Amino acid sequence: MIALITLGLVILALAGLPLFAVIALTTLIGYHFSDIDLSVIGIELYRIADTPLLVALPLFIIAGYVLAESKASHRLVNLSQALLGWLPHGLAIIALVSCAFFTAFTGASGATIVALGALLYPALQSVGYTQRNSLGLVTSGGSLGLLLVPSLPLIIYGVLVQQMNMGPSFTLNQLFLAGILPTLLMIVLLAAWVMWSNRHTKLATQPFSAKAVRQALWAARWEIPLPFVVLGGIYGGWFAISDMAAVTALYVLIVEVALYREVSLKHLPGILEQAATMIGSIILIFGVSLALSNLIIDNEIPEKLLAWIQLYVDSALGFLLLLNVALLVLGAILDIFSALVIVVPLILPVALSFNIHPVHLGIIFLANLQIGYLTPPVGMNLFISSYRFNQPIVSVVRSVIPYALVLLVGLAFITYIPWFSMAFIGP
Amino acid sequence: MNVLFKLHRALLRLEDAFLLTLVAAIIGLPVLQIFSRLFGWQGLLWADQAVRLGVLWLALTGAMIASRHQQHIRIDLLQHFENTRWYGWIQRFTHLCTAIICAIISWHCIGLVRADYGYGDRAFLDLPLWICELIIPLAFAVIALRFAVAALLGQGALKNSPEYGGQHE
Repeated sequence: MIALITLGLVILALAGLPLFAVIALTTLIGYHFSDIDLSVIGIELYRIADTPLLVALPLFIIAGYVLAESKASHRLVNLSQALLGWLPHGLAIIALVSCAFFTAFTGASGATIVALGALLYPALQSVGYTQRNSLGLVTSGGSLGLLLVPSLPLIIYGVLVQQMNMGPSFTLNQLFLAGILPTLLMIVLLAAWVMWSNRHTKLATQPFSAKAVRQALWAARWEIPLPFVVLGGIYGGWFAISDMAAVTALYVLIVEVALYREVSLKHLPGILEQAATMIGSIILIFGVSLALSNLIIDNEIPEKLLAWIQLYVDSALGFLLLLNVALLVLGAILDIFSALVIVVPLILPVALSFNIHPVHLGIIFLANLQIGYLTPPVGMNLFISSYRFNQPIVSVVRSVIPYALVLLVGLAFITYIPWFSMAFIGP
Repeated sequence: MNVLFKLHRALLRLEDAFLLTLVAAIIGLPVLQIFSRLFGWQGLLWADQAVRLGVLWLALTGAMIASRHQQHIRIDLLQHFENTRWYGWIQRFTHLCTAIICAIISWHCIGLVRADYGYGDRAFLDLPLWICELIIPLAFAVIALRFAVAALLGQGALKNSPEYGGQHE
């Protein structure tokens, strides 16, 4: 019976039933079999209003949509090119670093490839990188930054785990700190690969010009404070995260609408509507998954899963390997938010029993799912790239393969050496 | 028909206006709080709760707006077959399922709201709890309605109709 229902749910999900509906239906069926009144789902949904940390999410989404709509990406690339363009491979490094920043600030919605990729893709080719190399670099770079604050999946993971109230406690700030070294590692590995694979390519560099730097700095004068305010505010602990998010959203609105005037008041409602669509989709999935995760825990499903896993695996190392493989497969099918809300409640208790710290687990999760952006059939970046740069999907996939392999190496480091995630947190 | 059309457009505008109000509130209230702390004022004691409730209302309003074009997150394995006839029928079927699921949720949440109305529980500012919860059945009813319409008419019909606000992407 259960197998039949599960099969039905999987088929519905694969046929394209919205994921919130799949999760809600699963929950309703679970309630029915556990003799729980179906109206409990309303109580669970109302818990969205009892989750203070969740406040940051819509605010950062709004800030991200407005930023993505402005010419902030132009100014970011200009500034970094003025600063680093004289370095051999400077542009590739710029591409990676600015992608990471932009993704962190605009959430994981593909805005990076659309906004930044459009600038970087032709620029990379113009200094001498092959078309295939540039395509791969931009497509895979578009997924960097998931581990940096204020990336939405990172916030979602933190809120989700804190809701479950299990294992060693940690603050969201600790989670945000944990993402720094792994992101740096991935950037360094990707940059090293670009340098190695292009060691025989003749690349153009531009001479360093103090004037260009001054001009780029002046152009970006209103946006330069933003990362410092956000990062300083969060890492320095000046503000609560939700206050920080409100300040960021207001600041971005003032800067892009009133100071740069690149987002007109007339277009603002449309942009906010798009942002609201994203907010609604994500938080709705989050809300129904709160209900499902309670049901999962009440029915002791993690314990059963643990018992089953222990039949085959008895070490943390083996568990992590299994987790990596499972998440890579899931990341290829599910989008990152759904993968998080479905899998975290199942896996967190199991991971804790293998003595894996929840912060480290979160970084593993996101680093894994990040690669899922690049794997067919549902790798979102592949499609966005193919659409944006007018390339057949097969050549995008081919161009991404070496970069995805490099990221896999990075993932192995991040997974099996907890130090990368825990360096700033202590034991 | 014309009256219905105008009514529908007015409702869409209302939905948009409501959204903008909520956005302004969840940005404005925390900023106001920060300033009051800065100047040593007491601030609004209910602001935090109001903002959190605002997030719930904003999220569900956003979910309603997302269902105007059925833009909810889904697994898109079949999207490459978008222009085939059977894909259209599968889509209508999944829309119908979504509509039924949302209708069930809405129905049971109405029960919850009525029960809380009976208990007379209060949220912040002495606001009755049932009013705070009202958005849940409302949003699911609207989502159910929109998916039901999409199941009946097929998605293409709505996507291109200007009175539905057209396609934003």
